[in-house]
Amino acid sequence: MEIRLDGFSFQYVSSQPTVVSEVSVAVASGACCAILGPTGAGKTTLLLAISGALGAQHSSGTGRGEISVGPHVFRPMPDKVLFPQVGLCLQEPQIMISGLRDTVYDEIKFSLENISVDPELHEEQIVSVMERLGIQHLRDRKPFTLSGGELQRLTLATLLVVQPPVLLLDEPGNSLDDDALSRLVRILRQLRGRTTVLFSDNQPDLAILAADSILIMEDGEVISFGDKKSFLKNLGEFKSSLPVRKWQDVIRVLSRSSSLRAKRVKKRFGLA
Amino acid sequence: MSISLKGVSFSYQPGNPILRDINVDIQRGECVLILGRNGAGKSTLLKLLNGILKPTAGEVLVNGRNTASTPTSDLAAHIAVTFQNPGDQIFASSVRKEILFGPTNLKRQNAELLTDKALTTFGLGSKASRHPYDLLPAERKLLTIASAVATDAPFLAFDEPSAGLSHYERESFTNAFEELKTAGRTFIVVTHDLDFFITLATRVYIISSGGIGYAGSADDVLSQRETLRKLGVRIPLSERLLGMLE
Amino acid sequence: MRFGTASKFALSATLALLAFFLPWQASLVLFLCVVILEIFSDTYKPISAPAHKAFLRFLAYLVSLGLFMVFINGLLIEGDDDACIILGLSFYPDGLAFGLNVACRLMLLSSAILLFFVSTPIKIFADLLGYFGLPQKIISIILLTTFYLEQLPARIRQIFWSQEARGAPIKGNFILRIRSFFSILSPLVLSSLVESVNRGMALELRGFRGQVPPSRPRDVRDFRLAYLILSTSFVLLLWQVWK
Repeated sequence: MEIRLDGFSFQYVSSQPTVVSEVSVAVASGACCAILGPTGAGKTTLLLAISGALGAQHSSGTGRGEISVGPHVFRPMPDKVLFPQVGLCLQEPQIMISGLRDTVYDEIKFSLENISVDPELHEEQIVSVMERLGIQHLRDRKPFTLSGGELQRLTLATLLVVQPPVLLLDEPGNSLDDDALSRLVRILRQLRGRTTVLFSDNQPDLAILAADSILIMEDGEVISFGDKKSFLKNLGEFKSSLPVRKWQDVIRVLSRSSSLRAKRVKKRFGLA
Repeated sequence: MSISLKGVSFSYQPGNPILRDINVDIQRGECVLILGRNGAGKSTLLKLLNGILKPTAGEVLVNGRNTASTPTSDLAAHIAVTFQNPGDQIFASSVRKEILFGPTNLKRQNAELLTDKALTTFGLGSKASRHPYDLLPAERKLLTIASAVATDAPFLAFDEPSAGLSHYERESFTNAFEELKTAGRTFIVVTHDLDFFITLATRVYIISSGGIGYAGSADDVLSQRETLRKLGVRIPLSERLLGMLE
Repeated sequence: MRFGTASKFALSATLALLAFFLPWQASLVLFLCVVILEIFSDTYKPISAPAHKAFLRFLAYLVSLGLFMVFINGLLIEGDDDACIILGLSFYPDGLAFGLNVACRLMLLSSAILLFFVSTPIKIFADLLGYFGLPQKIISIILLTTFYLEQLPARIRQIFWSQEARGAPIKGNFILRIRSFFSILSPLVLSSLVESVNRGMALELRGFRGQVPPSRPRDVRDFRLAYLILSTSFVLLLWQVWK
């Protein structure tokens, strides 16, 4: 499902500056787009708006422009949560755990129950999503005893089990260790082509590894939007809002080197 | 002025020690990083420093005071500890009052002045009268760090202070750190974020299976890639790629 | 053999009901049975060690309260019979009997109810209520409250630590403690409010609107036994009324 924003703006309180202003972007169906920027750039607000959670809070401010999710056009934004068409994972994965179910398996099942799908008929679906995310061994664990990385995979599982055409992730790379991060990259790559993914981050690593296009925001405005190639080419322009210094070094070394190893790195991380 | 841990062991349940025979000396003006995997006992170590937890063996001395026999609220004058979740401490109706809480508790003569200084140091001056929950989460994190600094304790210990901070806050954090270091404050930082703190640190300890798996100066640690990997310390991808390409 | 939750509930309810009309000797015997069930039976195994401890503490409290009631009633309620002198105090037999009656009933009633809750996780109890037709919205509220209460002690401990680390005299004298009270309560309320708003949004984001079809009860088995126990107690009740 394609996601399109046309001149979308939003402010919580009319006396305060807009948190998102005049954002116009389009993410093709099945593509993965990273939204990068520092704190207060408006990344979370944007994701909440697309998910419908922002519009569902009645007294939460005013929006302009429009948001399209697939064939549906919302002006200025959806006024109710679009689950199961759109799944949004909030920043802290533990907040996404319902607290109503005792095991990892039941927690995933809970999402199916909510959309009135008889979960007994979909055990296969639950098992397959657990396997895909590598959490089948945690099946009977209590959700709250999981580690950060495990909790994040469970949260993803609770969303992916309903096969949403659009998946939104708010800063999924935060506080993940190396293993968890590369696992997340693998999951995002698996989703490519099937699920439209938008994720936010305040640093570029995950975007460089997994995104097709990159949107950079600062103070609610779009600084740049383009494919990964143009982002890497112009890294220096973003040094005031993102920690890109080390990546600049990497790109510089790569562009100068023609060794086999450099070629392999380029290929593996899509830095060519 | 120093903190010393002498043969410190700690266990939550008898027979299952989290930390075993830890010996560490921290002198004034240092910035000590404590790294290690999740659950390695880093946060436990932090709680031993200000007497929230008492060692099951050995002793912790803060400026000569044994933490086993000194109440935490008294030790707070010597060491200020800040935990991960700002929600666990924020209670005042304004940013300024929140910061003022510490120095007032400790009956600092110049509590107001200390508060104003901390506000400026962390770039929160313009938000002093705002409600803490009107701030962005990353700013709330800075607020808790500023509250610790305002207590005027010579030792400052933080649990994951950089988590969730973006490029902006990291810059004001770095500047504040440099300023405080010059003023002679001592830092003990429990973190996963070696990349961010390495330029500020003087010494690095890595906790592994209850003991000290690695101890060394901050200048050497980045060259010990293999050890870092083995002890579960994350090196940023860009850093690793650079290493691979060199 | 282990009974299901429904039978357990029925048995506890019956015991509590019996307390209203059995003579004190029978109540006392049943009260002892409750204690034995809690300690030795598999069905009524307490859900945790602290739950068991709390139960025993409550029993001790109950027994002392019972003894006190017997003592006071024996001392104060005069009857037709002559008082007997024990340790220089005069006790009336009618008063003693009345005290024993009330005390044993109270002991049986409260211990029987507690026996059920000490051995049943709230989530399973909520399932049972759902099975008996309680609206899902109310059950969700029960479950979310339980979930919050489970986390409460750890939360409070962490807040204590955070404020103590800033010099708050939490372990000082009474006046100091009162002054620090606000600094403990306030983060608890504030962060809980923020969390409940976020959690509400998270539940909505997962399509939850308070109307999940009831999940199949996890531990609601052997209803026949439950009905047997309940109908027996009903017959007993009728007999009592008729008498």
